[in-house]
Amino acid sequence: MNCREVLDFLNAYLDRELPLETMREFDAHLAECPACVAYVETYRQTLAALRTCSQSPPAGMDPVPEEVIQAILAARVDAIS
Amino acid sequence: MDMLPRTDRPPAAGEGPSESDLVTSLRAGEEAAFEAFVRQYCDPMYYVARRILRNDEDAREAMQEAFLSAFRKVHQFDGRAQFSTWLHRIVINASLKKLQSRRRHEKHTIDAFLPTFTDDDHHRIEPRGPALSTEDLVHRNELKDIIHHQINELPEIYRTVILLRDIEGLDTEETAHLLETTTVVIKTRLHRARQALRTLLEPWLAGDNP
Repeated sequence: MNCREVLDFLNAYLDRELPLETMREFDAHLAECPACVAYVETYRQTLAALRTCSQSPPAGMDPVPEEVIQAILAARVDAIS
Repeated sequence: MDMLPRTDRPPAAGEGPSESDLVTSLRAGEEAAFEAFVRQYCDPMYYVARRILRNDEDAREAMQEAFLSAFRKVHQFDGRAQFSTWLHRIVINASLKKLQSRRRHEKHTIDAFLPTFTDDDHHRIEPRGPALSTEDLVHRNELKDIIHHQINELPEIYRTVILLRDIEGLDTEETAHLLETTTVVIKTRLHRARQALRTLLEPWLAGDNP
């Protein structure tokens, strides 16, 4: 397996969807390629960072203004009248 | 994505109703129920729309459309998922429709952010490794802002996929359905989007603190 193939298979590798033999080839390449190890680690960190963004809305974001709420309520009245 | 209603927002009248009570009241057409519904869910729904649409005006319009759609379709809610999950899908759908209605020229090429290889398939540019442990990285205060800023640098078709899959938490099949494409396309776009995001984040991951 070469570096290009490692990156092509990376998502499937992390999701453990590769056939066993391909997983072994992937691991064997990582054992010999510091560049791909660096890439895989920073790719994993990118995914971990993305997971932090799926939490609740950040503290300090302003709530929806009252006039927007009133506009929604008025739009419903228009829709059903 | 957490679509639970804000508990620090003043309720419309007395205590906010439970999800099941709210659904019952909405189906019965109770006037007060719609206002309670809007007040309880407007903030999380707005945040979802704002993430996808990136401007306040479009996000507000999408949120309004989502509330009206939810009210029209509340009789179709079958209770198999949580009400907040059902609403989450509705506001995503409304936001995507708004996104598609924008007549903007968006660059589609992501190639500049993807890794390149030599003729013998080695990395053309040596990737830089992480400076911090993952645990230390995810506790950096500014990380979420950095992520959102860099996601916004991606071409729209890739930005949308990474938002829906990795931030809003939709699965591949759902994402494909919403974007009217196949799961194969979604998987390919997601991998390219993640690779591109990794490239954009590399200075921070490598400890440069730009």
